[in-house]
Amino acid sequence: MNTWVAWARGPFLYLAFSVLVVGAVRQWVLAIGELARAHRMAGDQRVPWRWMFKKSLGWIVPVNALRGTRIPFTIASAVFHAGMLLVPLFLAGHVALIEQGIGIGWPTLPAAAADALTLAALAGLGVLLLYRLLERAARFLSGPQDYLLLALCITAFLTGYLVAHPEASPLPFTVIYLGHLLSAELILVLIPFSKLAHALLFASTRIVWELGWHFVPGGGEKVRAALGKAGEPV
Amino acid sequence: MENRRLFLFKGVMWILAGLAAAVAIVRFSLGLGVSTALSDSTPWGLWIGFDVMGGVALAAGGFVMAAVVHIFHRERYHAAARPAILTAFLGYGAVAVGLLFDLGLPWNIWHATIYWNVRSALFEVAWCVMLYLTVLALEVTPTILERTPFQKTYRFFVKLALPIMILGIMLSTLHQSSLGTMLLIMPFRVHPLWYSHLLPELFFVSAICLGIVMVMVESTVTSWLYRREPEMEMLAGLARLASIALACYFVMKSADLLLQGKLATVFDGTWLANLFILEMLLSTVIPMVGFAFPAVRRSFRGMWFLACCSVAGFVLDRINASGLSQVWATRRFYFPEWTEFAISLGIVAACVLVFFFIQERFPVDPHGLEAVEAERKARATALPAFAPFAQVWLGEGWRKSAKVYSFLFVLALAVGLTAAPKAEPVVDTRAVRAVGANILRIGPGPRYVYFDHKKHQDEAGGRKSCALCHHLHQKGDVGTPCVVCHENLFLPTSVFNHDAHVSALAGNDSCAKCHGKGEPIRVTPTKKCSECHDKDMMAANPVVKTFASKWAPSYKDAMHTMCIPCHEEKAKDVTLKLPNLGRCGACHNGGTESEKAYTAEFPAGTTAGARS
Repeated sequence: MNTWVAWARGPFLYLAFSVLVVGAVRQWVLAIGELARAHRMAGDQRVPWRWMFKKSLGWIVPVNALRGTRIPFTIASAVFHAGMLLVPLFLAGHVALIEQGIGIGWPTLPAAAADALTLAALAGLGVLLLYRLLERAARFLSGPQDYLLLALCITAFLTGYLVAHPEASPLPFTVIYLGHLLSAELILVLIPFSKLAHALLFASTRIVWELGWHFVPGGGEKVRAALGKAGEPV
Repeated sequence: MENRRLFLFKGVMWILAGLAAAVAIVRFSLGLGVSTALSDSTPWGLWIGFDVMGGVALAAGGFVMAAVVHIFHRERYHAAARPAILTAFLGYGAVAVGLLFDLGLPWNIWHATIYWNVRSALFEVAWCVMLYLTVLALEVTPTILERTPFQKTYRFFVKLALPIMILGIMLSTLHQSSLGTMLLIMPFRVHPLWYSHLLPELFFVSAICLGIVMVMVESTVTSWLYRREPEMEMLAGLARLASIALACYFVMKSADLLLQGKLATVFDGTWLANLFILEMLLSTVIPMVGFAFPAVRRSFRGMWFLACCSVAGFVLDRINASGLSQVWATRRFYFPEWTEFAISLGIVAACVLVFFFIQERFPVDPHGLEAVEAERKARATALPAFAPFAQVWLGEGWRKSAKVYSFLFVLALAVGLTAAPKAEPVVDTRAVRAVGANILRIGPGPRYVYFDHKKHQDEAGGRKSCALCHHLHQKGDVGTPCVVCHENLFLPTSVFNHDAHVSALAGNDSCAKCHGKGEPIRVTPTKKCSECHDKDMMAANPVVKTFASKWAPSYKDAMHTMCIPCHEEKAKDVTLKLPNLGRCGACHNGGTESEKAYTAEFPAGTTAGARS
């Protein structure tokens, strides 16, 4: 078991970060191609930066969605994302490991805050899973990938909490530790190659999405022709 | 219908390229010592043998086909000329790139253009590569321009083609043979079976053979990959040509061995001799005999197999000549690290991918363009493709290729980065030691002693005194071990090599040149060394005085009087942390029972070898 932990802390970790870094670079290079394509295919090539920025901010901080129809989902998603961003990056233990490895450190979260965020993220994940299972439309749209990613996030947070509180753990520490390492590494590996890529491609997706609504050059004419009203004023 | 065969093949090429990219990062950031099995005694390994020597030879198809088609006007082989020239261009590009990996100071690769050393064999090699690469670029240009709007430029290059081709053939002739010349200057390193005064000519003829069989391999493999009818008539003609060329090579090689009296060495059963037999069988004998049969020349598989066999044999020949056959002289074990294989394969893979890229866009030969056209037609009715797990639309055409192949590339890159060695860079090389680091290797094993090279050099009379210790008659550029002169443990030894002098001064008639005519042969009336060797051997102020009188002190005296004072002095230096350096056990640290009996009361605690 200790050999497995040594592997998970050594080569596997190195591999996970290598895959994450080179995979992210690949996604960004491909994203440049997609941006150029979207720009070329749009009839109206102006990008409304201000409006788009505002709109994107609205998605990141979903205040408006709190008046919508899926309020528990909105809250759970926001809470989970806050935990997912803050805990892995600012947990004291993680930062200490990174400082040991590459010699760079940064301020950390207090342990109590990290615990609270972890539990909140777990609760958020539970709500997301329930939503996916119970809501009709979500269930039909979900594939194996969606459940796998949810399960991985739940495992990573749960084992992470138990690593920090070994007294509450029903399993031996090594098992929990190994589970935490492997699930987290799998998440890192999957970031560039799955739906988790939205973490890398958020900005470019917003721009492509915005340009994608614009008609292709001459698109209006084609629609009119398809409707049998070619040459008529709109 | 999509061409799955081509798709998988390209995928494998991208994976190899990804691995090589990872190793390249490690090699250029941490250096050769960390990333390869190369060492000072084996500085030429797989990379020189395969990437440079093999790469140049594999690119020989370019000049052979240019000569066959454009000089001898054998129009039957016209279809093979453009792919062969493109391959030669990419091959030479690969040689240049491969050389960058192998040079200790790759950023100095341009030095040959400015700092001319006209007596160096490598000077000729470097200039031939540069000029021929330029010529090949000019030869490839018409292919690229043919279907572009730049028709005026295209016609200009077509007019230029013939003189350029002739220049290219000339340069190739020079260059293929000058690689042999390079080995010609190391008679002590290259094994007798590979060493010959005919090396340049043998290299040239074998390059012609390899050029022909390489064109066959290329033609068969592309028609298999693109699922095209093979050009059997052309292949059969090439096979006949290859058979004749291989026979010429075989006759040359055997006659050379016979006249040098080395034929018996071929069958002496050592593993190098067996390697030589294997190489000759693969490269020459089997294909030569095989291609002579008309039945083989009618069979696609037969020709493919024999051509591959011959290519493998000739590549093995280049690796043997430039690397393996020298291990015989240096007696150092060398087997390439996986990183070396990764770079070699990765460079080949990159070349293959560039070849496909150009072939599918420009009129190199009809296969590529037709394949692209067929795919475009098929795409109109094809269902959209999705990535298996991510469920993302892959796009069409080059977008799909970019997504799939870049995925394979980055995965291989990440795996390679993880697996690549990540040690501290090696700085303790012989070159470093010679220019200032104070370490000397003693004996064949990994034992080192503190040794101030610069001080010795200064005291012995500067740069001219090298021969005092680094005797020029030592084989394989080995530094002289102490015991060569201090031969006897207790008695002084004469260091005068009488036999060598007799043979150098024309045998038995030469006695009088040193001993005088009609006088008894004794020490006193004989000439002093300095009467002949006033410049080449004697330093102005030699540190080892006994050398001048032809007597070396006994090993014990030499070691005890030369080493002990310095050892004792260094033992007092607390910064070295070697307090026991002055004790007997520092050097007598193991060995025989009698040695242990003498040194037991002075245990070393730490040895001189600990500083390696």
